[in-house]
This record gives sequence, structure tokens and C-alpha cells, in this order.
Amino acid sequence: MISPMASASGVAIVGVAMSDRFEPRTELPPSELVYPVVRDALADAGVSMDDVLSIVSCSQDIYDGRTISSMGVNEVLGGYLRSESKVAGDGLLALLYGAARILSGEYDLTVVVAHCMESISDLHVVENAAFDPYIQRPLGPDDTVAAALQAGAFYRASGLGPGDAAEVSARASEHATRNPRAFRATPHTAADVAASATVCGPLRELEGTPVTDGACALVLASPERAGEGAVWLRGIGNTTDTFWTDRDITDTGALRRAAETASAHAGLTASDCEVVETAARWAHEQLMHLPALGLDAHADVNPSGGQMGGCPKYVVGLARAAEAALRLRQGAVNALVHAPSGIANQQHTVAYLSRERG
Amino acid sequence: MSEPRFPEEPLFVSAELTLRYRYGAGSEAAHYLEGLKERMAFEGTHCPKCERVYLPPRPVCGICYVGCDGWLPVGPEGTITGATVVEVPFVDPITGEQRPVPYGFAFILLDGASTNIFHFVDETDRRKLGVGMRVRPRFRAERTGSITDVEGFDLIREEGP
Amino acid sequence: MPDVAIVGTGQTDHKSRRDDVNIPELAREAVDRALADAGVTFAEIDAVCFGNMDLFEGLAENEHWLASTFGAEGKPLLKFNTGGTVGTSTTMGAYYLLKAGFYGRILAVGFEKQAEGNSQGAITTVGDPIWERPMMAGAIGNHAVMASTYVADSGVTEEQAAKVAVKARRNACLNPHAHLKLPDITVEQVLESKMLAYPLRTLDMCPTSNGACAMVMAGDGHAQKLAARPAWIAAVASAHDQSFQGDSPKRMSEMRSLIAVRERLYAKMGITDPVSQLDVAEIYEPQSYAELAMCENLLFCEKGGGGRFIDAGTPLIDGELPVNPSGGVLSTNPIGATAMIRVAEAAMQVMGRAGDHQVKPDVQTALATGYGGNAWSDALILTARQPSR
Repeated sequence: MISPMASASGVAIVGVAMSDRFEPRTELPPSELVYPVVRDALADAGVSMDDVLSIVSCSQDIYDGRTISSMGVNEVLGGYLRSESKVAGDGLLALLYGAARILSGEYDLTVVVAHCMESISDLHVVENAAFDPYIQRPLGPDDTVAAALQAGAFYRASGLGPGDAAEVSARASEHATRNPRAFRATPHTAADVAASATVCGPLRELEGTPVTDGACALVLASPERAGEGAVWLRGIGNTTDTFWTDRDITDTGALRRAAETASAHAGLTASDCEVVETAARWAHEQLMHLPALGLDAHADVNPSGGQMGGCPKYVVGLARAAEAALRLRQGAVNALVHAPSGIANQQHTVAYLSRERG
Repeated sequence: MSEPRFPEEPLFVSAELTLRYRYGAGSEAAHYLEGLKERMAFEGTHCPKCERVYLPPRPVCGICYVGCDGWLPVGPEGTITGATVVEVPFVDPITGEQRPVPYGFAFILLDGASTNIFHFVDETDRRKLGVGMRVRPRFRAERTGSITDVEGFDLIREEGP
Repeated sequence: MPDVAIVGTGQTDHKSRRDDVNIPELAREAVDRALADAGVTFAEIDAVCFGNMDLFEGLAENEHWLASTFGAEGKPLLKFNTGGTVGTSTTMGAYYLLKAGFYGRILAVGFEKQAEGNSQGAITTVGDPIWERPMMAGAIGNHAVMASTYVADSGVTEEQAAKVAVKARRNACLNPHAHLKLPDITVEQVLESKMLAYPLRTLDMCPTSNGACAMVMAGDGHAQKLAARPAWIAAVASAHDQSFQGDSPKRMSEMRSLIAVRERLYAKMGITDPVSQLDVAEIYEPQSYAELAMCENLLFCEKGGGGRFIDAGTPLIDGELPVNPSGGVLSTNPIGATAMIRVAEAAMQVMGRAGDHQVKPDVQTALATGYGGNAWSDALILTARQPSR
């Protein structure tokens, strides 16, 4: 892959905002969740919507119950007469596309917004729609079933087990409890996890992620627009594996490759990063992903509480970048951000953020 | 490599996807629907910067990117800005039933509003339905505070001497 | 920031049904043809951009299911599903990724297999569930009301609109991929076809098609190795209207989003007289009246002059500015591919690969537009000359 990040150009993150604790807000339409987040990100960046010509949004139609789900939030995104396009996938893909719009030289500002309401639909049905329609969907699988199969296969292959995942979950809940922005407000112990209901063996209820709603927005800027205190996007990589049943679902080769791409752009490795935010919907996923990112499987990461602290699908990667950016503003120098997408984490996006432009 | 052999009849897998959503109506809806139910009246949201009055109501003026600052009455009468008579069957997305055809359908600019709504018009002869005609709403006798409390619009027909 | 070009295109032969292929196979046909046209294999592709309205086929996140179909394993894969504009949104996504220098060669794909699924059911969910859906009248009712506003503003006659319908289906006969080919179609036939919702008759409307389109796009340095005459993307623009279908005061005759993109493109390219400065236009016309309204908004003719424009013969395939020599959306509409087909057809004209519907041997400047949702307008200008040279 080619590395544009090493050139004179660069991409800065100058504004950050997220929904308040990603509380489920079934009584609101998406537009009323998205507007305050976009408005607050612009205010945080010190720019007006009048200065913005480019927006990248990210949402999934089947979750919103709305074909072209960006139309439902068009006006609050600032879409009127502006160039707004929508990607479908994890929010970090919108960051990739938004960064490309800045690096193309055509825009000096781009607002990137991801939004999703998990609370308004039957998640089992919408998740099932992503499976092969000919030979898989009729069996009724959903994301949880695929995650459970992956967890079982991973434990057999690695020698790690539910106890290790329970520790990850407990630590995540502690971090979330200390993060005023996180949904989870009470910690639990590894013993609590082991005692919680079996959702789909070997997965227990407490090691998963609660249902949440909300949006996250970042304001991206070119170096000319970025002021003091900007956080720099130093590198970003995305790699897709084959569909889950066409591969070994314990294999993390796609993640390793995405991480290598980002690392080569950034001139940074995981060990340079004080902050690591990696999305994992179930605790075992973190045990799988950390070694592929160049870290110990049991490393203490996700100071925000991570996805397990409560964050909607499709928003979660962008929210990890937002949390990392906020910690960089508070004094950390480098951050590693990661989110997967697709059944059994088929696709991965990895990014390096830094206080230093590099 | 040998040619792929297709069966006599192509094989199809049938599936039915039932998607249920709870769509939040939002902060404007309660006020607006109460107006329909209690007063058979319409109100739109006002932009303090460009002074547009929006129907359907919305919290933000997308042109100015500022919050709307309140409600102003609009209508109840209005003017047709686009009209058709639909003759092709269509499944009503709310009831799942075929809507009986033909039926009149129009863009209507209620007096005082800056944007059009669309609604049914009680006229099925397209030669009698046109841009510029005046209409008034027809409310249901039994209203529940729902968007369908407005059944449709009737042409305001000139009464002869 | 390298210049970006289209260096190969491929389409299926678009049809009412394709029972002989499943969904991955349908998409793969166009992919294989695009790769062959560009003279590359999957090994030379760095990333994949894919657009499709998965909900129309009752699917979700289908880019993951289709990763192998697009040769995307081990590579970046971005998915778009922006409705009618999805083909141009996908193209633009690929354009920005290449212009940023992230990748050197991208495969862009769009398709729809509308016979398998409930497009109408999914399309009703375009409407706002609280404010619009209970009063919706389907795509045809919606388009008919919009067309009636244009009739009122311009005085365009049904004969003039019928001439657009005739042009499209006759042009389609020169395009091996087009769906609806009607060599003997006449204005009388259009006017005798069933009235669906005034003023739209059956032959004024686009068909529902099953088909796919793919393009190989490349950055400066790569493009020149893959095509003798790349179709360079010289300008792109995109704009929206507001939230609801009735928000625009004059939805057709003054389409605010299309006027905005026109102003940006023409300013960037120095276009003051589009009829003489553009060699061909592939515009996204969902129905016959819309094509004339769009020509007005694009300044191909004066405001209110759409009817006179078609009467004068200017947009015919042998006219001064051929509009939709491919047959346009009126002849072919697999929604996930349709806007990309506009770009591919414009690219084929610039590259000299449009065969029987090539408008002239040397096409220097082509316009392609996408349209969808609530007056979402995309537009691109393709040139034979490399932009930065």
C-alpha cells in the first residue's frame, strides 16, 4: 500500500463529540441524537458549519429502519447544499474516507459522523440479515452465535479460556465506571461474569456489551486549518478477510495486516502508545486482537472502558478514536485505535493518533 | 474443465424478513399532533435567521444550521403546488394493504408555510386537479393525536350564484 | 495529490430477470469484464469500493459476504449504500481515496438484483416514518407530483416528454448492455401507454433492472500504464436538499442541489456554454420529464426551455450535445449500479470504447450525474486531457 501520511500533508483531528453515555433513547429519532453531537464537535473545533463543505457519515440502513439512513439526519449533518456522503460499516472507515477527502487537497475541513440506534429494532433479525442467504440465514444465526463459535475455537487453539475473558470483562467494567462518558456505571468481578447467565456457550452475559444508542463526530482539518492542540492522524489501515465460513475464524491475519499498514504510515508501533483503544464486543475478542496489534493478550488497555463499556455497533470505532483523542489532549503522546467489523470480525481498521505531527 | 451443469429449473431459496422498529417521534411530534387532535390546526417551526416556517416541523433549520425558536400557525387552507391522480396500485407501508386506486395526491403549501407537505386530495379526475388550486384539510371525526388525524384535503370549489 | 482516471469498465447485459446467476455471480460478471477491459487481474487491485442497496434484496452488510467475489481478501473494502446516487457515491469514494494517494488502483462495483427482493417495500422506507410514510404514494406517485410541478412551471407538453422516452429506447438499441430496447418506439406509442399517475405513463418511467457495473480506477502513474486514453476525473461535486420531499419550493424546475453542483463544476472547469463545451452528457433521469428539467438546471437550455430543447434535436445522439446516448436510466435501472453506469458510459465515450453509441471519435469532455433520495445530486466531469497537465 502507498503511504501518503509521510508527505507534507497531514490530517488533524480538531473537534470531538459523543452522545452522552450512549444511553438508549428509543423515544428520539436519529436526527435528535445526531444534531447535538455534530453541533458540539463543531463548537469544540471552534468552527462554524458555514466553514464546512464536506461531511462523511456512517450508519447502517437496516438498523435505522430507513433506506438511505443518512437522509434521516441530512439537515442536522449540515447536508444542505454540501458534499455529504455515507459509508456503511464501522465508523473508522468513515475516518479513512474523511481523511482521504482532506489529503486529496479538495477540502480543508471534513466532519465525520457515525450514528446507530441499537434499541429500536430486533437485533437478532437485523444481524441475521448479514449471513449467507442461501445456506446460513435459514438456520437463524446472529452475531452472538458467530462470536460464540469463535470464542470456542479460540480457546481450543490458544489454551486461554473463559476465565481469561472474565478478567478482561471485569477490568473493562472498572475502567468504564471511572469514565463519566461510558454507559456502564457499575463494575463487576470475574466471578460475577462466571456466575452470569450463559448467553450462547461459552459466552456469558456480563462479558458482552449492553444495547446502546448514539452518535460520535470528529472534525478533521488540514495542517493549515489545524491550530494548537490538534491531534494528528498519523496512519490508518484497513484489511478485509474472507467471509467467516471461508476461513479459520481464529486467524487474525487481516488485523495484523491493517496494523502493519497503519504502523508503516505512522512510523509508530503499539509499544510507542500510552493509549490503546481497541473495540471488542465480547471479551475474548480482545484476547485475540491484542497480540495481532503487537501487544500482550492480557495487556491493560481501553482506559475508556471500550466497547464493553457500552457503545453502539458502527459507532464504536469512531468513538474509540474520540476517546483516544481526548486522552492525547490531556497529556498522552501516542494512541493506537482499532475496530473490527463483519461477522466474526472479518474486517479491521487500525489507526495511530499522536500529539506529534511526525 | 467441464461446463457447469445447471438443473432444469433454477433453484431458489425463499425467505421472508420481518423487520419491526420502534421509531421515536421526537420532541416536535407531541406538540404538533396535539394541535391536530385538539384544535384541528397546523403549526410549523420557525427559523429565527431566515424566517422560514417548516412543515413537517423540525428542530433545526438545515439552511441556516440554527435551532428553530418556536411555532407559528400555518394553514389550515393551502395551495396545490403539484398534483397527480395515482392509478397504479401501491401497498400502503403502514397497513400492508393495497391502497384503492385511483386517488388524488398533491404537494400542498399551507398558508404561511415555507415548505410543502404531500397528502391525498379528494378528486380523481385529473382534469379537475391542478397546480394553483386551493384546498382545505379534512380531519377525522375521531382523532387520536396521529398524523392520520388528517384524512386528506378537499378542493375548495367555487359555489355558483 | 495525483490525478485520478477510469481505465476500464464492465457491465452485465441488464435484464428483467437473471435466474441463471446468483447474486455473487451477477456482480462478478461485471467485475471480470472491467478487469479485462483494464487488462488487470485482482493482483493489481489495491482496494475495493462497493455500492449496493442491500436492503432491496433483503440483505445487510453484504460487502462482507461478497468480499471474495470482488477479490477483496487481504485488501481494504469500503461499502456505500446511498440510494439512487450509490453508483456515483462509490465512484467518488474511490476518487478521493486515490487522490489522497492511499492506493494506486481501485476496483469500484455496483449492482442490484431487483427481481430477488422487495425493492418497493424497501424504497418506502426512504420516507420519514413519522411524517411521510403514512401518506406516501410510492415512487410513481412521488415522481408524478414532481413532474406536475415541472409541467406547471415550464409548460412542457406530454409530446415533448414522450420524445425523451423515444430517444432513450432508440439509443438503447445501440447499447448491447441496455435493458429496454424498443427500436420502433414512437411518440404515439408513448402517449398511448397506460397512464400510471398523471403526467407519467408507463413509457415515461424507468424499468426495474437486474445488472451490475464495475470500473477500474487508477491514480497518475498507474493509469497511463493501463489505458492508452484514460478518462480523467477533472471535477466532482455533490450536494443535498433538505429533509423532506416537499421542502424544495420548485423541486424540478429549480433543483437546488443540482444547481449547486452545476455551479461548482462549471466554475472549476471554466464552462460557460455547456452545449458547446461538453461533448456528451450521461445524466440520471428517473423519468422523461425529469430529463428535461435537469437539462434546464444544467444550463443546456434556458429556464423553461426544456421542451424546445428536445424539439430542436440538440440532445439526440447526432445532436450538438447528446444526452444519454447509452439509453440512460429510462432504459436501464439496476439501482445499485445505475449511477455508476452513468460514469462508466461517460468514461467509455472519453476512452473511445462506446461502440455503436460512441457519439464522435474524439470526446474530450463528458458530464455524468447521479440522483437519488430527496434530491441528492452528484456530478462528475471526465476529460481526455489529464487535469494537471
